[in-house]
Amino acid sequence: MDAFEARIHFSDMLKILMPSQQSVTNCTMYAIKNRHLQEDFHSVILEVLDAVDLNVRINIFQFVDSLIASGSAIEGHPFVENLAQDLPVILEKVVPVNNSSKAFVNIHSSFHILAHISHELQLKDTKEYEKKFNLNETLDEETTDPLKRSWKFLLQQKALLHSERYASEENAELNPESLTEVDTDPKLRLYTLSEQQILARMEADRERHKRAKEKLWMVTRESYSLSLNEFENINDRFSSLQDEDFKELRELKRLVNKSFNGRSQNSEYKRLKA
Amino acid sequence: MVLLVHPIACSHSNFIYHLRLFITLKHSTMGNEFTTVIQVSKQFLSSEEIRQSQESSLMKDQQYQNYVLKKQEVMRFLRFLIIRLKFPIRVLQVTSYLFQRFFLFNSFRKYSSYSHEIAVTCLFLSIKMNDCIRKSRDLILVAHDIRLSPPLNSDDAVKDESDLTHILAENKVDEQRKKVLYFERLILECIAFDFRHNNIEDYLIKFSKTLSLHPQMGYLSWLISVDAMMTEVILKQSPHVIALSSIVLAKLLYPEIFTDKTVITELDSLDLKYSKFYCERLQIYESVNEMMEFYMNKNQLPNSFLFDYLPKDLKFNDLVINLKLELPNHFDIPPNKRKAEATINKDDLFYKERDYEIGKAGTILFVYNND
Repeated sequence: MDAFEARIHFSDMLKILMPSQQSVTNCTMYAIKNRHLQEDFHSVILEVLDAVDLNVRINIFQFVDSLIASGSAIEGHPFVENLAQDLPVILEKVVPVNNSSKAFVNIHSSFHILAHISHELQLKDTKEYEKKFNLNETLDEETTDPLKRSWKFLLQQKALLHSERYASEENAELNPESLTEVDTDPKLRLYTLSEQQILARMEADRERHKRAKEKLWMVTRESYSLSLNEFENINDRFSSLQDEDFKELRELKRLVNKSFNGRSQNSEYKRLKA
Repeated sequence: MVLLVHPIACSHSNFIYHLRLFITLKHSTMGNEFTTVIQVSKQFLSSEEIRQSQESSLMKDQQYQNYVLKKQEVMRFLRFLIIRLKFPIRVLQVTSYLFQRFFLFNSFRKYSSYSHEIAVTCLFLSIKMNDCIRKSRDLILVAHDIRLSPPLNSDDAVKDESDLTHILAENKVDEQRKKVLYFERLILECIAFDFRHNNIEDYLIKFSKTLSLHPQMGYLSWLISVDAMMTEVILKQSPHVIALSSIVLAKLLYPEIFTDKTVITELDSLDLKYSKFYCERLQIYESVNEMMEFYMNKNQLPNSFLFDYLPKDLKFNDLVINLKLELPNHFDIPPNKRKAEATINKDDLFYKERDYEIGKAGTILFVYNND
């Protein structure tokens, strides 16, 4: 397959990309297999993002995350540098700057994906940015780092969404018809989802959430020993003993005693007549 | 409570063998004999029960020493496998429990060559019980790679799981998967399908926060608790006892190893009331004693997570031996009460090598307790 054919094939794959593990993995494997064409494929990603609706754009962003993770694991780190450099551009296409509230549909999924990319690229301030996102705060510092610029943009969009939602709740009730209303401006049509697309999106978000849960428990370690950092992460998960815990301990002690008391009985096996 | 009923009835060739061991009720219909066995899940066993079970599974063929060596090898293999697959370390608890429990009730001579497959199966069951789902195929592929080229030191950089030096052929993966499924059934029968478990880690953090322990002490206790998962303590004591014992041992070790005065001052004023945490003095004494025995064995130390953290020039063995000598006085336990008393019926089939034919020829009722 020559470079032109590979480009066309990759472009077609991206246009019909689904959020399922299989679809994203297939696309990632294809890109990694043809990594000598990384410059071409990078431009295809940017081109396709302009041509597809918001549902597919978030799927592509998910694919970008997968590609960065796979690229980081192999020699030469193909795709990683280019994608990391253009992350702000990609994110602006996934969460477009637009007056329509529909443009914000990808904001939460983008947040989770960007957080995962930040962990993958070992951005130190990720936890702080995640906190800011949940508190609708913005980032004021000026930076040239593309990853930080992406966070800055996303936090800005989240704060904007929050203020718009607050205003719309105060002024008028949401008209359900407006959700499926078709915009007259052809550019805005890409941001408008039909009822079928909304249902597909709900299903896709469910799938994305399921996949995120599959990875939540993963602990990345640099060596085969256990670091203080890992302990601190576990330490943050629990508080001191509460009333419920004391009840659980009492129950556990009862269970242990039962197991111990059972020792004095003659037989753990009993044979019955069938 | 009845957990599972496995009703398969047909003639049973080993029936006479069991007749000698149990008060049995024989019933035959149309020439077929029917047998029902009730198996109680005993989550925790005493030292005597463990020795009694090992009599038939390990001691019979003088295999105990081989088992100890194999267990050390498998624990190291599991450590690499868990870390390479990015599992939280808490999955080691159930994995090690299942592995040790399996070799209590099954002949080591018969299954020793499958130790690594059994360990992978235990890990596979453990990750399911801990909600860290991975496909058995992923485990098998990485396990194969680690077996053929294990990391040399615990300081080595962790390779990505897709970075495989030795790739197992697809037909071999299928073969291994079948073995995993086969051993899974055997292990489930051994634990009487009892999936109840509590994590040591959860209790350890909650206890350390209740006691307002210094983070350094919390970290030390946590490393000790992970090491304890590899010992027989997890077959004997409940997770909350092991968690508190780890804190007690950390309290004993810290002033001997580190010099941070803030932590030592805090430790001096630390008042550990065992009853507050629903633990008994003798239980804590037994657990701490056994954990110390783990550290006294030089062959075990490469497996220890605590050992990696200690200063390299520390004579840890000597330190632990000295502390162990003082242990009964520290706990104020009179010599005649240093071992828990228990009477067991040595003829009970529970302590004998498991016979999987029972399930094929009759019905087994798996129950939580024998109320």
